[in-house]
Amino acid sequence: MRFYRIMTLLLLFIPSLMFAQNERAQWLVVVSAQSNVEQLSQKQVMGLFLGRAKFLPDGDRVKALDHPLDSENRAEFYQALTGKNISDIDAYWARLKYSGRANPPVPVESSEQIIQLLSRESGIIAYLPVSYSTVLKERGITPVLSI
Amino acid sequence: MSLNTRQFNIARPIRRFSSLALLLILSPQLLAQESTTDKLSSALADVLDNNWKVTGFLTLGYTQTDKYDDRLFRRNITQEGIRLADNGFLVDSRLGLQLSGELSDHWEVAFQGVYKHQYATEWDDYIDVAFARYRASNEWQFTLGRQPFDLFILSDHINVGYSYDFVRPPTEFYGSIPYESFDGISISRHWGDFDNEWSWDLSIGFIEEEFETDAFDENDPDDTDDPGDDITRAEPIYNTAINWRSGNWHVRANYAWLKFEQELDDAKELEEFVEVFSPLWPDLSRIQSDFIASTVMRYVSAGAVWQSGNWKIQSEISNIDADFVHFNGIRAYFHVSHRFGDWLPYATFGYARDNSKNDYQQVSELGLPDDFIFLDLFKDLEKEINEEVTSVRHNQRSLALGVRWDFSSRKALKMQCDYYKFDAASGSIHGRVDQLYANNESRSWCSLNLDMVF
Repeated sequence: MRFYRIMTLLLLFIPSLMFAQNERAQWLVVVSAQSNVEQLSQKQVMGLFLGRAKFLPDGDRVKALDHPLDSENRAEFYQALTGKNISDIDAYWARLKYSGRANPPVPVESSEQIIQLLSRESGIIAYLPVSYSTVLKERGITPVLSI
Repeated sequence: MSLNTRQFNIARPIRRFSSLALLLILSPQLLAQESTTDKLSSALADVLDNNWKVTGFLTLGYTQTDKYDDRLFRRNITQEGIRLADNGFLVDSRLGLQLSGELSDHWEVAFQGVYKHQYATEWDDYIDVAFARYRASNEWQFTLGRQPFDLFILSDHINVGYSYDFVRPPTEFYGSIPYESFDGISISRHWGDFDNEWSWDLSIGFIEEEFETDAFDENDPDDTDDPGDDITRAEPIYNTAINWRSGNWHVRANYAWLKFEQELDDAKELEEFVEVFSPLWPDLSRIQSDFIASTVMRYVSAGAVWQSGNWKIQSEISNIDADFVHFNGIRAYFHVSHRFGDWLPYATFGYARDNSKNDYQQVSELGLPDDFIFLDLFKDLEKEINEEVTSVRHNQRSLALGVRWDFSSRKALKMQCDYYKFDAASGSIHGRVDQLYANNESRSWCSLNLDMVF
C-alpha cells in the first residue's frame, strides 16, 4: 500500500516538476533604459520581433536587436517566443523582407554589446538570457517581459 | 492565330523616370549616411545607425526528365517554354538583390532586381521593387512606386524560393499570373491585436509586361512570334485584399480587376478584314473580340494557412473571369507539410479547370462554295484559331511530393517530383513542342533546388 502511495505521489510530483521547468523564465525581453514602457505582453513582443509592429505602446518607434543569426541564443529565443523552428522563422523573414514589408531585427555580436546599446541608446528592444538579470539590474534596466 | 502587338506606352518613360528618381533620392541619402557614420565614434552605434541593407536571395535549380523531350516546361507564363532536356537549369534558377533603407522613423525605401529566365526587352523588366513607403503608424502604411502584385498568398515573395516549402509555387495556381509587380500606389491598414489581427490592402496602378499565354517554343521555326512584340499593358488595375490572422490561422480573400489594352500595328487592316469577311463568316467579329480587343479580367481568390507545431496546411482557390480567350477558370491547390527537425517532407495537389468553350462557327458550316477563292485562307485561319483555343486551356491536375532539408542557416536543399495529368483539350502551361495536345496525357519530372538568402 505504501508503494502505491509513493508511486502516486511521484506521478503527481513529476509532472509538476516538468511544469515548473517549462514555466521557468529563460529569456528576458528588455527595452532601452530611457524608455517609459514598463511591461509588454508576449503577443506585443511577438509583434515587435516578427515585424508586425514598429512602435511601442507609448508611440515611440523601436528597433529590435537580435543575437547573431547562427547563434543558439537566437534559435532558442524564437522557439520560446513563437514555438517555431528557427528555419521557419528565417523563411518567414525571407517572405517579409523580400516583399518589402519589413526588415528583420538587427543582429548584434554579443549580449554584452546589447546591454551597452540598451544603456546608451533609445528606441531599442532586445532579449537576453535570464542569467543577465543581475547585470541589467545594476544598469537600471528592468525587463518588460520574461518568457 | 498569331498577331503581333506593339504599342506606344507612356508607362515606359514614367517607369524609367521613377527608377532614376529613386536612385537620385537614394544617392544623397547614402552619401549622407556614410558621412554621418564616419563621425560616430562607436562601432556599436554603427549597428543601429546603419539603416541601409543590401541583401539577396539565390536559387540554383535543376529540373529534368529522361523521357519526355517533347514537353516544354516553365514556372509561369512570364517565361518562355523551354525544352527541359537542354535547359534544366533555367526554370527555377534566379538571383535577387535588394537595397532597403530607412530614411527616418516613418519613411522607408526598397529597390530589388531579380535576374532569371523570363521575357525581357528592357533593363527595367528585371526590376521587381522600387518604392518609397510612409509608415504613419503601426496601423497605416502608404506605398508609392513599383511593388509586388499581391494577388495570392505567395505572390509578393514568389521569387524567393527559401521562403516557401516547395520547389516552385503550384503551377496550376500561380502559373497563369502574368505580372509579379505593378507601378502605382497602395494603402494598408492593420488593426486588432495578436489574437485577432486584421489587415486590409488597396492597390491602384498599372502594369506592363511581356507574357505568353500559350506554349511558345523558341526553337520551333514555325512559331514566328517575336517575344518583343507581345507586350501587353494592364491599366488600370485595382486590387484589394483582406487578411485575418489568429493563433494558428491566416485567412485571406482577394479581388482584383484588370483592364488590358492592346494597340495593334495592323489594327486597321484587321478591322477591314473583319468588316469585309464578316458577312461570310459572322463569328469573325466574336473571334476578333475574344482574341484581340481590350478586355477586362477579374480575379477572386480565397486562401488559408493553418500552422500548428510542426504541421502546416495551406490551400487557395481562385476563379478568373476574363472577357478574353485566355486565363478563365477555377484553380486550386492543397499543400501539407510536417517538420522533423531540419527535414520537411510535403505533398501538394494542384488543380486547374477551364470550362469555357469558345466554340466558333466552323468553316464547313458556312455554306461556302468549293471554288470560293478564300476557302483555303479561311480553313488555315480556323485551324490556327482552334489550336490557339486549345493551347491556352489549362485543364490539368498534379501531385508534387518533395522534401526540404534546412541543412544550414538560411540555406535549404529541396527535392521534388511532380506528376501531371493533362485533360483532354488542354494546352497546359507546359506545352508540347509539336503543339499537339493528346487526351489525358501524363508527365512527370523531378527537381533539385538549392535556395538561400543572404
